[in-house]
Amino acid sequence: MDRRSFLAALAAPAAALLPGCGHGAQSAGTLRLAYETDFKSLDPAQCFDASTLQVMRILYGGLLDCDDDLKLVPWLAAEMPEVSADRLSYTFTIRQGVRFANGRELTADDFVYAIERIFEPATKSVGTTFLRNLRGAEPFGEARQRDAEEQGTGRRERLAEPRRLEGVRALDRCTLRIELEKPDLAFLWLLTLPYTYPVPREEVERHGEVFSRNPCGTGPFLLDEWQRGQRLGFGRNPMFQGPARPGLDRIEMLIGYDLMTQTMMFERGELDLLNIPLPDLVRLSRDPRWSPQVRSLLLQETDFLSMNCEMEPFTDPRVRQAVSYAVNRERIVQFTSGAGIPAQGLVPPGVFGHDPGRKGYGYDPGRAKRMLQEAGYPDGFAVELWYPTDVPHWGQICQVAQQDLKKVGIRANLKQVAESIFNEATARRRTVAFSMYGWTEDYPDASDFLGTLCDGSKIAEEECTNASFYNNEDVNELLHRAAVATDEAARADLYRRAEDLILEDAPVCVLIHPKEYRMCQPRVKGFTLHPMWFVRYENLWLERA
Amino acid sequence: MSTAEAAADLPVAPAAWRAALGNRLVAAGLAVIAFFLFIAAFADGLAPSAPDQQLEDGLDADGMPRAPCRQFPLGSDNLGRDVLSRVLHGTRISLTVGAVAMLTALVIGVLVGLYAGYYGGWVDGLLMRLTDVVLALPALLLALALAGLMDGKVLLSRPVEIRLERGLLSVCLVIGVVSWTGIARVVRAQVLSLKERAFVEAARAVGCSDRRIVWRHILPNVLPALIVLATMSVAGTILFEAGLGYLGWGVPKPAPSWGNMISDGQPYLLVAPWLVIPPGVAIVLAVLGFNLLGQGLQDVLDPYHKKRA
Amino acid sequence: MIVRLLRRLLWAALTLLGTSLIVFLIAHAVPADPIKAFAGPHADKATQEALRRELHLDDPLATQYLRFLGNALRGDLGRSNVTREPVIEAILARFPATLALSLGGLLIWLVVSIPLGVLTAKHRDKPIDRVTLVLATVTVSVPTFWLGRMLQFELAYRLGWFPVAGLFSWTSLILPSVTLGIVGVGYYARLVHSNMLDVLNQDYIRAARARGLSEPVVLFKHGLRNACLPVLTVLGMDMAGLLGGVVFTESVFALPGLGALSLQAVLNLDVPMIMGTVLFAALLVVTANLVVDCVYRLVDPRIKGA
Repeated sequence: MDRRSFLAALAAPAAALLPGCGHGAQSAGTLRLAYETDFKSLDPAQCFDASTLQVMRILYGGLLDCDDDLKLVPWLAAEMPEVSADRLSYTFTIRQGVRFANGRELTADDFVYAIERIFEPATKSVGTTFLRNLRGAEPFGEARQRDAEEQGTGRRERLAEPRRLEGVRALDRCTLRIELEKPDLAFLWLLTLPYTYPVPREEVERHGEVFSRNPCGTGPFLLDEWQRGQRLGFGRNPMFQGPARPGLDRIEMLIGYDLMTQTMMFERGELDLLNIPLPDLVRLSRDPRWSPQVRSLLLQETDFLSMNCEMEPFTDPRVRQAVSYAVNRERIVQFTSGAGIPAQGLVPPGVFGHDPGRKGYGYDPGRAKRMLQEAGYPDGFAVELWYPTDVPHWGQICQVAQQDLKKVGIRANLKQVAESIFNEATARRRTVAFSMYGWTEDYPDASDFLGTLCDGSKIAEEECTNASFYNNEDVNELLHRAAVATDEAARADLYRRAEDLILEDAPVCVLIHPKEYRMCQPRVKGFTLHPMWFVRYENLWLERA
Repeated sequence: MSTAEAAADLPVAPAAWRAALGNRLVAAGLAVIAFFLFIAAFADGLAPSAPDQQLEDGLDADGMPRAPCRQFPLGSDNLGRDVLSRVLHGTRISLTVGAVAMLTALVIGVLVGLYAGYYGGWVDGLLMRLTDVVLALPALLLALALAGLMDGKVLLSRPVEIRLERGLLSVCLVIGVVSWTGIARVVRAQVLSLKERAFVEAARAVGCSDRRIVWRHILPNVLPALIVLATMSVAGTILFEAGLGYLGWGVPKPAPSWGNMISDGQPYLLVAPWLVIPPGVAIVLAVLGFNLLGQGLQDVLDPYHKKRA
Repeated sequence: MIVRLLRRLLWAALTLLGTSLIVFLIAHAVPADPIKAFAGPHADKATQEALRRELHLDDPLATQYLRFLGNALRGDLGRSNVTREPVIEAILARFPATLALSLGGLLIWLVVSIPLGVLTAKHRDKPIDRVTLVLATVTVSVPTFWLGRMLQFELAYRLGWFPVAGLFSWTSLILPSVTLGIVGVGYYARLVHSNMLDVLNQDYIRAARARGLSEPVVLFKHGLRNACLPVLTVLGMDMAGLLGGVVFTESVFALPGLGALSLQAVLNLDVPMIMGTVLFAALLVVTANLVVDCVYRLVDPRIKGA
């Protein structure tokens, strides 16, 4: 590190220590909020978690967006695409006059570049799994891998055939055509995700590795400060040509504050937004000072207990069903301060394919005991219940579940595991028998839940997303047919039938669909919660006192 | 060094012990420790309920912990468990970890100090270098890294299976392994002075083996300083365990260690401070007891200690 | 003198080498897969292979250690497995906050304990002495993280007298410094107290009094100077202890310092960052000891031997 940056690093806190800089001072147009951990990268190709997604939307833009009612609407596309009859071809017209933060105008080529980039190993993107249905994606991806292996990573030259991705082509400056291998009714949702957000080629090539720290997009804000692990600062993007100008002058995101400290800071006026932690939910929502500022959202997420169908004693479906009868979901909701609803199935409400009339397992410990007896476990059994460190209240849910299971004779030993180890172990075959799991949508479609979690044909030795290692031929067939179905009603029916079978086999014991609560200072206006993006900073403005 | 000699000259005789008990600090410290030992021994009877028992009406209608009331003298926690019972049972854990970790540190420290001090030369150099290295490493981070290794890896399969599981014993060992350096240094200093004394010469002349001299002649004279060190060390290990528990790497949950309780209760600090305050006070009192005792013993058994600094 | 200094430097270097070896061994025994941590749960094989190659994870352990050592000596401590930023940059960026906090803590430590020690030595066996003794032992018995939270909860959150967390101005350092410093106050006050007691009985003090110097001058000019020498040595030895308290204090008050950085590294099992921060901390401790040692020798020419 060079001397100048070192001195600069020393100067910053030193300047802050000068007298006169009052505590918590914020300028009038700056929104201030905090996070527990830092962002890993601000490269849209590398974005895979919810909080980064929110930031990605103010820095970049995508073809399509989704509104408050979960309807797809055009964003960088001028209008909704033309779809071919066989649902394999989508033609988009790009909006005119959109500029990147470096001043250059957006063209259809930028989308092609961004999507082809996903398949380059040097980009280290996780979007390849989402975009594998693009026409020619597989050979293109393999060719790029061959290139990388031969030249070492970091080389940008493409030597192996095919050199271009067939499924994404710029027909002219403002027309983009996307073609799929197989029909997929949920495909358009993928275009709301950051993997397809256009990035300017010249900036990526200029920055190389550190492009993830120097974002350049079409969004209403740009990043002007990032002290790793400490804070991020966003200012208005002068090149932004959106429908409406953002109301905020600046956004400041502070890093490294745990939720309780954030709550204290918020109540003292040192933060503008707060993701309300469960312990303070009741208190703040009843406090007349704060309750007008509280917003809630039922998440499209299901928390469940995952049982490994390939490991004893969960190889027997009766044991799995017993677990589903043993757990008292109402009590779990109560123990999480009412921040959720009991889950009847795996697909949450609001997601395509959800069956509102579904009735799941009720609380019936007597029946659970009988089933255990039938399965040959009259005295129950002992098992380890794994859960990760990153979600604070899961420990609580697990303890409640542990108590319920104890009543029917299942002695669950709680084991809290570091997140990275947990993810790796639960994805490996025959390693973890029983774990607490949660699945949030990437986009609101049943394929994202059932297809990812319950498709037996996707079982792998490692990195298996089917954490229960559940394999039912009938279910697999239904899921495969649903994935390529071209009729919406038929598709929904296929998913419903698949979910019926899955719940009967009970590889997972669904628990709750959690709710999230956020609040803002009275001076923050326009604050509502969006089902996928939560906070939309471009809609906020601050009332000057 | 005259100070150690002076200490060694003080016989650990009845007169000294009487003086020790007469000392106010010692008396106060012993009283506090006795109080905690009593609680630890009779926790089952004293505590209104089991420490991990989630009581029916432990939570109020909103699922929030109950404030201190007649049924729950110190309130209930976020899972409906009685805080008083957990604090009382936590005494067992703290005292056990304190003692076992101290013993671990003591054993390592005494061995290192004895051998370094007596044999001198390259043995001394090597052991003191090792001590410096361990001293330079931040104890907390080292302990966390070691605790992170305890993930169920199997060290040996035969003849007996040894697994690195995280549990009470492993926490004690980890704390002990990072805490022995002070003890080693003091023991070494004592041995250095003692080994030139007349009675050691005499023993050597008679033909005693080195081993016998170290264990039968030198060690007993190091005892007074060791007692003081041991007492202060327990205070330190209890604090250390609380720190590890606070970070989530102490004795595994749902064990009611005071550090775990503070860590679990912290998110509720703004609505239920009774989850955080009692375990903290308990830690302060328990550690205080050992510190008072150690301070008093030091004044009595080793009055020239302050000069050593 | 120079020879002695060089010898001390050599020992210090060897100590650091030993530290680096231990840190390396432990960090590599830690069961974390950096690939998954960075690339995320969906990453495919090619992406993982690319990362694996980049991080040289397939080399034998000895080679990795030597490479680590070689790089470290050139100031390159690798990149964090979690954020991919250079470790040395992260450390240097966080160092000022830790320095500020440590100085603040030290200030409280000394500013409170020295006068307290002097006063209690002067008024020995009077009530103030006894009260101080009890308070002194109490402060050493309080866990740093608990004290910090209590102070933060009451004084910052409930009463609003100070900022809750973060480092925004000098007022942000008050509560953390008190938290850090108060733990040592008791111990140091007693140390100064006992040293002052001895010093006050010396001949040269009686001589000064006989010459007619006023009591404050006697106390502070002559007595204090000599009483503080031993405090200096203990200060050097306690540097490692100070660093321990720093970790908790930075965590509670969300200060962007080395303590919080190293804690996060250990909790995330971020191997390069663990190695870098622990090594840096060891460097600080060893340097502090060296400096204190030299200062002590310079200030007190009586000490020449062992």
